[in-house]
Amino acid sequence: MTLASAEIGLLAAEQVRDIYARSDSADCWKRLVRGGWSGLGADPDADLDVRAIQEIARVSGQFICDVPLTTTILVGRWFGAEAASASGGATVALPFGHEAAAAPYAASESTALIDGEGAAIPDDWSGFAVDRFAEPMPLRMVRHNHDAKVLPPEHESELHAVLSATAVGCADAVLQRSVDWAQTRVQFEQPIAGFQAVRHILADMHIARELAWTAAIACGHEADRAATWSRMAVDSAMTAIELGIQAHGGVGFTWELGLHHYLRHVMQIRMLLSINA
Amino acid sequence: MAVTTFGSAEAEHFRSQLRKWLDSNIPDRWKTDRESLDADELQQFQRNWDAVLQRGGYAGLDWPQEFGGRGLGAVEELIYYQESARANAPEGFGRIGRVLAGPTIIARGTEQQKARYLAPILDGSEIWCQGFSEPGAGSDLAAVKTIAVRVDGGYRVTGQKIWTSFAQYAQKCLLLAQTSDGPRHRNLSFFLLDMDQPGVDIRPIKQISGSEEFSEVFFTDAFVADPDRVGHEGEGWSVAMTVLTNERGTTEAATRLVEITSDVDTLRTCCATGNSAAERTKQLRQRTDLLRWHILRATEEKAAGADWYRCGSTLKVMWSELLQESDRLGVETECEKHRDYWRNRYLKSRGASIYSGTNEIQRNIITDRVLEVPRYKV
Repeated sequence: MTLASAEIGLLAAEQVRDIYARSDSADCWKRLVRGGWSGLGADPDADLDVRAIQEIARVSGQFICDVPLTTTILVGRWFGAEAASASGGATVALPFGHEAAAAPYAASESTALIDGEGAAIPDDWSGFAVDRFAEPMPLRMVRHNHDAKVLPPEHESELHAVLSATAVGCADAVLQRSVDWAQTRVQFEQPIAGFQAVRHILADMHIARELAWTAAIACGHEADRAATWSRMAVDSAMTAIELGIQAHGGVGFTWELGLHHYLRHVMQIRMLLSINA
Repeated sequence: MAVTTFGSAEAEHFRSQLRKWLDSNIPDRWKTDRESLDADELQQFQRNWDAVLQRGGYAGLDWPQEFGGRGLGAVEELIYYQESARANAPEGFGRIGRVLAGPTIIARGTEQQKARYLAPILDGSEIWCQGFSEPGAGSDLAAVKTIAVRVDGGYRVTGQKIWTSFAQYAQKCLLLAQTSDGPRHRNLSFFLLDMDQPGVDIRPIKQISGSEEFSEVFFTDAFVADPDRVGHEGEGWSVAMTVLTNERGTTEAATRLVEITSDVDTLRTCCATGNSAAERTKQLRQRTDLLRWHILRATEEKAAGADWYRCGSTLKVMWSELLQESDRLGVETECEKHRDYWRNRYLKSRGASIYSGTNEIQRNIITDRVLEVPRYKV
């Protein structure tokens, strides 16, 4: 066992980062599909394991791009290329309360909803609510009226590991923005990064982010405790982001600055993974 | 040397051998009744354990074979601590020697120093202490004022050290002292000083727990010979950093994991009876497990060549806070059977976020060196 990702995961994450950084959300998905990144999970040559997919998920969290890349990769990994081939990618639903299930990254009907056995669910989605609390990660609520729609536990634990890594990516982005901000924002005639009180907030963010990443890695290794580990990862990522908002002072809690997008993303992941955990 | 990976056949073989060995070597009283040991008995248990480890071949696992170690890697070292935690094994008494002095001498010492000092560290027959901090040089370690003046064949040392653990038991001291008026960080040298000589006066400091684990040490013209200097004159800061690397590294964190696991286990099996205490204990167990994974991750990153400070400071903050919270919960449970135990553990634990570099200093290191945020001094 090694905790580091295989080379393929690091390489893929780097390429995906490049696409996220250069594209607006409209052509981001096209580029990911054209580059073959959305099909990576079903590619036998790529031989992507969960730990490698976590690297891609972490980058996805850093950019909070509203594309179903990681769920499409997972669907390909579990059910093969066909299941992951819809033009808008694929996603799966997790049980959400007694009668509902919720599917992440499922804003558009071009995104296929795949059931627990790999078949597309032919529901007409128009009748169901979409929770848009986190804009880049809309949750579509669907009725789960037959068991096949529910993911088997071995797949569910992998989704926990991957979404935990996405939450860590959100914490990464807020930490980087906070480090930059502290060096730019001047008060008392010096950058606020000169004040130890601010520096220690940054250090605590780093600690929380590192612990979140360790918990996410553990999540990928201990499937039977995935729900517990993902909760730890997501909670720790949330702590890091809260501290980042504090480090930004008055501007930190404005809508316009946008730190809330990362926080909402992590809150959404938390809700999705915790409701039935 | 081939690096063993976690879960490999080699690692698991090592683990199963160790498990058997621990089962048959941990004294019965330690297993069943360790909370009742008084301070002297505890020390005797720990000293005996040093010798048992040496005989069993489990002292100096990651030391090279030529120096009496097993020549294994960080992974086996960590497995040792994991299994010790699982089996609630005692902690050895010669910890400063094994974790700090030995690895520093191996990395930076002369052949003569290695030949003289390493073997007695491994069998626990020579105890070491760490003469770094001073009344005026705590967090600001580079401000040490103890002075080593050149004389025929060596140096005469005068000054005061403080917060020196094990000083009253130690035969040898890792000493950081000024040897010139040169610029900060380049005016220091590093010595291996004999504690058993005139001019070394040790006064134990009573701590809030009531025990005396630290001392003040006064040096008045104490002698240290040339061959006992580590590195050149003026290289003391760099050698001291080698020591701190180990003090704040994965091995230290792993020894703490053993302690914390044992305390959380006591909470779980005995003291945490109410719902709220049980819930908090459950969370502490989960965080202890996270510490284990984090040590695993840091060990792997270290083996792959990562700089120590990338993980060391996070680890130190993590284990010290976890230790303090566990012992605080212990006190709060008001468990009659363990009342004295928790009172002592709790008071003792307050030092954990202060010694080995305060947690504030660890946070400074993270911001300065990991996040690389400039200081902006006005």
